[in-house]
Order: sequence, then structure tokens, then C-alpha cells
Amino acid sequence: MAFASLQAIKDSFAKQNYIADDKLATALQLVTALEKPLLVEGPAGVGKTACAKVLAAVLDTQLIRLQCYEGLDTSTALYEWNYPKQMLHIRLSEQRGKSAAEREAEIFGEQFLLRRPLLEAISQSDKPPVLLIDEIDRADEEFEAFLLELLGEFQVSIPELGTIKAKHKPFVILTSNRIRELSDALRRRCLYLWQGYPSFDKEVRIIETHLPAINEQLAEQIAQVMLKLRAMHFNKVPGVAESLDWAQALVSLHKGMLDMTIIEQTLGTLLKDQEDWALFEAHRGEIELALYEANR
Amino acid sequence: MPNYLDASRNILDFCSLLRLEGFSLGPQEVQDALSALTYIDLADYSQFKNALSLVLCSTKQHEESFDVLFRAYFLPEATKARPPESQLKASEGEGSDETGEEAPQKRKKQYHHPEVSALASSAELGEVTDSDDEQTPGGVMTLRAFFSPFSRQHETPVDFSLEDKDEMREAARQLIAKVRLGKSRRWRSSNHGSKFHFRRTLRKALATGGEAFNPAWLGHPLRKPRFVLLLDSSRSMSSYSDKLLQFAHALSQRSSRVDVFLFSTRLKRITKYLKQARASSSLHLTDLGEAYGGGTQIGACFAEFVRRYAQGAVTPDTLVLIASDGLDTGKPEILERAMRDLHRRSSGVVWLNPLLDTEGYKPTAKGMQAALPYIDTFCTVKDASSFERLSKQIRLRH
Repeated sequence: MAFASLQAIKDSFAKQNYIADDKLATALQLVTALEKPLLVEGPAGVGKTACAKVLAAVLDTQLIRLQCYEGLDTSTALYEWNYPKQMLHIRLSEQRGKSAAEREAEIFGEQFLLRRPLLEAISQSDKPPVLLIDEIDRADEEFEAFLLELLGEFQVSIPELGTIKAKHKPFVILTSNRIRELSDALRRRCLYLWQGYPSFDKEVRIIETHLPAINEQLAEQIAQVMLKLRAMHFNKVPGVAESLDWAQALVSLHKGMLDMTIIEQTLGTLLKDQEDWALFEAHRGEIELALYEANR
Repeated sequence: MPNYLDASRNILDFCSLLRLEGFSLGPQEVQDALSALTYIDLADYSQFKNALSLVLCSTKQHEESFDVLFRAYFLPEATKARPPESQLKASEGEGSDETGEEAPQKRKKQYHHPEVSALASSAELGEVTDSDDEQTPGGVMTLRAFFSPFSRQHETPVDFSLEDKDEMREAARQLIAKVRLGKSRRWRSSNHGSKFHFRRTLRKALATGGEAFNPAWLGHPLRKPRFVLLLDSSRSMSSYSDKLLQFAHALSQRSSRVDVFLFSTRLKRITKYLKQARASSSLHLTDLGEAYGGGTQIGACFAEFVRRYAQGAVTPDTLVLIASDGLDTGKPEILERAMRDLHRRSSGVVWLNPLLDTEGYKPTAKGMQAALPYIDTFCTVKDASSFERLSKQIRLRH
């Protein structure tokens, strides 16, 4: 399954309210064509996760998401036996006089297998799903090594059941916030895309796509201020998610134009750290200047 | 410049150029690059570039230098508009055919024009550069490479002796043993666990006819500490550098969770060199640039550390060890902000100050004053035995 052209990707993404640039579109085209995983890195809130969701919607296929965290292991990521159910089954079938081998074959059957996201992703029978491995940098290095094996072969060996091989290779998208440096081996298996903060024009388009009710001037002002804010060294730099929240807040408050008072009133949607607020106060002048220029 | 008429030969050629610049590209990557090109519109410049970059890059730094290298290779005309000295020299030799083993050497020189090396070195030093397509490529960076007073400083490698190992190894062992952080959140099989290990219990039960006589348990393992070492290698600390690096080396040999940085007026991560220095008895550091032997910009270096590395390197399991005399030439506010951040993120901040041994020394330097409220353990290091004492002095917050 490959896309016809870049424009086709961009158009179908736009239909889902996602503005994809050339590079992302090329990346997705190659993901579907080369069947390689895509590693998307970038700051928080720039639409890394959303891009996988939208890809699944566009391809009209299932999105399977594995959220990584410290301590994630194979029993939560791949598969687990349903032990209470097995126990119960053993007890209930005790009287039937079956041999040990028969009983073992029974309790390690498919109906006692709990499929976790990774197994789910390689055992889809009708269509290749989109497998989103979110925040891979939060998982441990050991898990990364295990993942490497899976991404290479797309097959899993379960000792009691045998090997399960993917009928359809899933489209894999990995995201990372660079909390931990990923291994070279994993990076080499993947296509790599850095998704940074959007340009002014792109941000205006994003805001307008998500909030059709917003007036053009306000969208431009928001993008302008965001540009300025991101250039400051905040602890938590506001991403696109924040600018959308902010735009939503301004629209709900029926504000058609930005000024310093309104910005201060709604600052909580943008900056979520007390030190960042202090830094904002220190740089008030610059924001005011940016606003003035945007109004001209 | 593309050397061949055949597109795929040019891609191969370009890949070998990237390899010289530190990209790790195996045959698989090259093959992927070639097959990627069959899916895109080759006449479209940006698609061509994007596809190659997606396949061949694997980090953000790669992406940044890829831009420059791509332009230098495929669009030499645009780059020649501002011909740097070294490129002029290279283009003189271009007429003669490059053959045999000489070729890669020569090409390496050709592409090492200041723009590329400036970018490479700034990426190394951790500066985030915006390489916009619209800007005159690398104009600003070229200036810096030529005129920075530090541009030629310490391009020659520096060697540190790593002898005296046994005492340091002992000190490192004690330190690792001493740092106790309580239990982690994950589950491991353990004899004294609190949660039933279903899988293992059931397996064991098969041997006893389905009766779980020997239940297995899951418990929380102990949290393993991480260490971040920030070592001052400015001139004023030069007499301690050897010892500090020996300790850092010993620590990184004993634990894989050690991250080591050198700083002077800039910051440089040297973890990987320390790990590689296993066999040799001296540590060979290249490209230290402004991270060695200059003045001291503690605040600026720590701020850079917090901005670039702290998120990954400093976790609540981390003990931050700073070795410096605290004679900062920058603004104390910057240092204070960075120290506050380190303090908040880590399980403890240890400041090793060799001056503390000097009689009558009081930490009154502005930098030291700014940092003091955020230091959990303030102690001295002079020789191996003081490193051994270190483990007894350390205090942790939980």
C-alpha cells in the first residue's frame, strides 16, 4: 500500500485537520513504500503522536498504540497468559481425566493468551495496522534491544505456542522526546525525521484548520507571539498543542485581537511553570514589540 | 560536486562523503536510499533532498550537517558564491583525476571548508544552529570559525594519564555501593517479593501435578544510581584534572550509568572516550576545543548542560558530582538558575572543591555563593584517599 503522490498525502492529511509539510509527506510515503519504521523526534507538542493517529485514519486502518514508560516489559508490551483463567480452567477440568499433555495443550491455547499491543500489531489478518510506539525514550535500554528484534523480523516466538509471523507488516511510527539518547542500532533501523516547531505560515494554517471560526488577524497574531515566545529559553517551551489551546481559549472568550492584558489573563494555557512566568515578565517588552509589529 | 553521470554512482559517492563526516552508513542504508529514490519524483529538488535525508540521517545533528553537505555536493555553484580559501585550493586540484586510495583523502579536504567544519564543531559543542535554507549558507558561522580567538585552541589532542587505578577503582566501588536510593517501581522476580508471580508459579506447578507448592514472587528491585560528573578543566584546575579524570574513568568502568562532561568556557561530553579508554593507560581526548584549558564560565556551561542534556542525563536517580574551584567569570544569576535546576532534578548535588583544603579558605567567591544553597555535599578532593573518603561524606535527598 503506497500513496500515489506527495500531494495526495498532504490533501488527505489536511482533510483530517493535519497540515503535513513536504518532508513529513515524503517520510510517510517512504514508510509505506519501504516498510521501514519511522522515528520522529522533536520537542513536546508538535504533533508527533498526532501524525500516527492521522495516518491510521487516512489509511482507514487500526491504530495500535504502545505507550512506553520506565519498567515496561514484554508481559505488558507483547503478550501475557491469562493466569487466573488458566487456574480456573485447570480446577474445572480436573475431574475429566485428561492426561497432563492434553491439559497443558489446552491451557496454553489462544483463548488464554492476552494480546498486548505489539502482538496485536503483528497478528492483524486483514490490513496492515499503524503501530505507534510512543515516547520510546522513556522505556529502558533492554526494551529497546527487544524492540529491535521485533522491528527487524516482525515475528514473535511464544514458547508454548510457536512462532507468530506478521501477515501484514505494520506501519511503525516511533516518537521520542530525547529524554534518553536512543541507541545507534535502533536509529539505523528507522527512517529519521526531526519535527521542530512550525514556521509562521504553517502555524497560521494549523490554527485556521483547527478553529475555522477564528479570524485571520488573530491567528497571525498568535503565530507571531508564539514565534517570539519560542525564541526565549523557557523551561517548558510551548508547542503547537499549546498554541491551539490558547487560540481555543481566545475564541471562547470572544477576543478578536491580542493585547498585553489578554495575553496575561490567558498565559496559563501557554506557560506552565512559575519560573517561566517570571521570565515572561522579564521579557514583556519584547512581546509587546512583537504584538505591535503584528498589528501593523 | 557530482562526479558521475550515473545517478546511483553519485549517491554512492555522496554516501562515502557522509561517512567521512561521521555518518554511520552501512550497505543497507545505501540500498535503502537508492530504493527510496524510486518512489519519489526525482525532478523535484526538495523531494530528492528530503528522501535522502530521511534515510541517511539518524540524529538531529546529522540533519543539520546533512543540509550543508548536500548543498556542497549537489549544488556546488551556490556554495561557490562565497569561496573560502580551502575550497579554492581544492578546486585547483580538481582537474586531475582522483584515483586509488588518494581520492577519499582529497575529497575529505575538499569538503572540510570552514562552513562544514564550523558546523561540525558547533554541533559537537552542543550549539543549536538554525541552518535556514534562505540564509546565506553559513555566513555567520564562517565568521566565527575564522575570527574566534579560540578557533585554533586545543585542536591538538590532550592526553591524561590514567594510572594509579587501584585506589580510584576502590573509591568508585565504594561510592556506587554507598548510594542507596530505595526501590524502583518495576517488578522483578524475587524471593521476598510481595506480588504473586503467576507465570513462574504455574510453570513450577506443572512439576507438582498442578498444585502450586512453591509459589514464586515478584518484588521491586533496588534503584540503581546514575552519576553525572561535571569536571572543570580550566587552567586554574589543571593540576587536578588528571585525578578527576582517573576517578571518572574508574566510575565509568564500574557502572554503565555514568555521564562525564568537561567544561571550561564551553561544555563537552566525554563519556564515550572514557568508556573506550579501557585498555590503554592514558586517555586520549581530541577536539576538546574550548572545553579545556581556558577560563571558567561555570554558569554558562551549566546552563548549556541543563538545556541540552539535563532532561536525559539527570533523573531522580542521579547524583550530580561537580568538580570546580567555583571561580566563575560569568554572571552568578545564570549559575544560580542552573544549580537550582540540577538540584531539583537530581537526588543530590556534590560539589568537590580542591580549594577547600587550603587553610583559611571560605567559599566567598560570587559563583560559589550563588551555588551554595543548592549543594547537598560540599567537600574537597586532593588525592586518591580523599576520593575514598568521598563515599562516606555524601548525603542524599530522597
